[in-house]
Amino acid sequence: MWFILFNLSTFQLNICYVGNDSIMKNQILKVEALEKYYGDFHALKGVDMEVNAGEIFGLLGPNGAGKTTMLRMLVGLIRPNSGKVTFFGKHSLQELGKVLPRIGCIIEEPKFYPYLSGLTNLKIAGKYFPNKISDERINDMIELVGLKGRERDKVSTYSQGMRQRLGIAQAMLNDPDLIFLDEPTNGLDPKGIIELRQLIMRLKKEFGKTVIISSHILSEIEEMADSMAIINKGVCVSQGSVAELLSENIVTVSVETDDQAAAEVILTSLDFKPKKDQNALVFQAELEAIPNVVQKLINADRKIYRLDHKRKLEDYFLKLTAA
Amino acid sequence: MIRILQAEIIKAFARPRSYIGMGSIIALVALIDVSFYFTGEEYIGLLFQSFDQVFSLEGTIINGNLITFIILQTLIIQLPLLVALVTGDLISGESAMGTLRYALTKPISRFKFITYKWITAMLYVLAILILLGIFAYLLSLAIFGPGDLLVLNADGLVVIRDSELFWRFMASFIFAFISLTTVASLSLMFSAFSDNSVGPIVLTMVVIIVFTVISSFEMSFFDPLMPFLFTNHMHLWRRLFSDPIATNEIIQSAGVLILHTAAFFGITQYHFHRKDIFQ
Repeated sequence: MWFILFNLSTFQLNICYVGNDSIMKNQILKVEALEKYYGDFHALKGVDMEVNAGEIFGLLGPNGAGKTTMLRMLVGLIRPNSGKVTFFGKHSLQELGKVLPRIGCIIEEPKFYPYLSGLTNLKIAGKYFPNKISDERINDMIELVGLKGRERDKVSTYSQGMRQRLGIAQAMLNDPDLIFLDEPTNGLDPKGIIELRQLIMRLKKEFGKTVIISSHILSEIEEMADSMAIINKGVCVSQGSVAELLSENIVTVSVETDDQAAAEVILTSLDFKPKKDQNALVFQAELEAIPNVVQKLINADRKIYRLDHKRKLEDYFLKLTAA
Repeated sequence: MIRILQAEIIKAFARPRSYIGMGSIIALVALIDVSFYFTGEEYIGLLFQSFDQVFSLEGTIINGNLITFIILQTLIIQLPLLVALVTGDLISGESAMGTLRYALTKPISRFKFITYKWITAMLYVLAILILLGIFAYLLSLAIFGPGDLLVLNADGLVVIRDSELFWRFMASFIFAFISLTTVASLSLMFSAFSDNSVGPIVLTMVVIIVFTVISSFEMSFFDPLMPFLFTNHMHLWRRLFSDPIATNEIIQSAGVLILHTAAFFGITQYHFHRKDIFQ
């Protein structure tokens, strides 16, 4: 495909050709109609998903939705009954031997040999890669995840947060292009969650990694992910950029007036379901309905002290998964 | 690929349970040596009592070779259990710990993974036998000295010259290696089917005990089964101490054991290749 680029700062006109490969290169993972049965139970019902390079992709869904099943299939731990997966624009699930050297992952909570040190665990993990993982690389990863000084201690003495960080270190050993993190903040205390979140953001920003995070914690995805897919009962019910998905949705409106009881009557008459939240009335509405709400309150001589609205992933998620 | 083997060896030999078998061997050999040192004459006197009236036995009956033979006879029954303790845990232990899913998300095929586990099991068997060889043979020779070996078997009393004993012991260790390889492969197979450490170990022990009990019944009902019970072939090492040596029988039994090993290995590969990893 030919492109004409005009550089405003230099006033230069460039004509360039971008091959299909370059366009395809942006798509790091494509999942098509992936299905998995466990006996009679239909765990994944034809999931489609696309992930672009360099983004944090959130795989969101309630517990038991099929997120872990999906990740396990993508790294070859379990086999799909049908469907197609394309890694890096060219490799299928049957070519995992070529794919896995470019992938790092934590599937469920990271597990290590507790009777060995963190360092030995990483060295063991490094031995499974076709190219030798140098001691320098291992030390760099230990430093990256903040385990310097504790690397020679047995893993059995590590806290959950330290194990989680060691898990990220092992996932990063081979300098992967694509990292899968399954419920990475599970079992962590608030400090651990913040640290891990910062580390994941660093993986994207500083190292340009593509990270796929599965989670049932909405705020986690809302804060970190660029794109996301919502899986519910084995079906992908929504996918897109987080900003896009949230903008096309209902919002949570919070309003404070001089007479909340009268305002509640007005809102109820407009078919909203307001709830008291401290001094405010909170209800859900479509964005376009807000001017009408304001007009009705003003017409009823109510003084509006505050009215704001938030687009929350929680609302969107609950709407999609409520059924 | 040597790096993967290194990883497997580190994992297997870093576990305390890997040394239970080795510790038991050292302790048992030491106990047998000490007991023979103090009360050996009495024991041998009872053993050869019936022969005293037929002919007289001259020379040092209690020597390093006899002690080694007795130790082998005693321990070779127990060794499979000690081997299963480690090899039965090689895959299922990883599954129970949750580390299996991490190993399998690395770029290594399942075929290679199982093959390296199997090689590790063989190395463990070899380590156990080398330890047994050093402690049973060298230590006994050092304490009791060399001498001809008197073996009491079904055909009667056989005297084997000291000069012939080294290679016979070596051959018996090789045969023991083949036998224990079969046991290790069996427990590894059970290990691939299980997600907990205890199951495969117990199951291997149960199979060995049941097969041994069936073998001990000298009833025609079990005759068709006999060639297929691998435990029936494991004690054939003793034929290396008969005169003449039952070479054909020994080779045949070794062949049967190797076939069992190949079958167990094949089943392990087939099952593990198709297995979904949930743990």
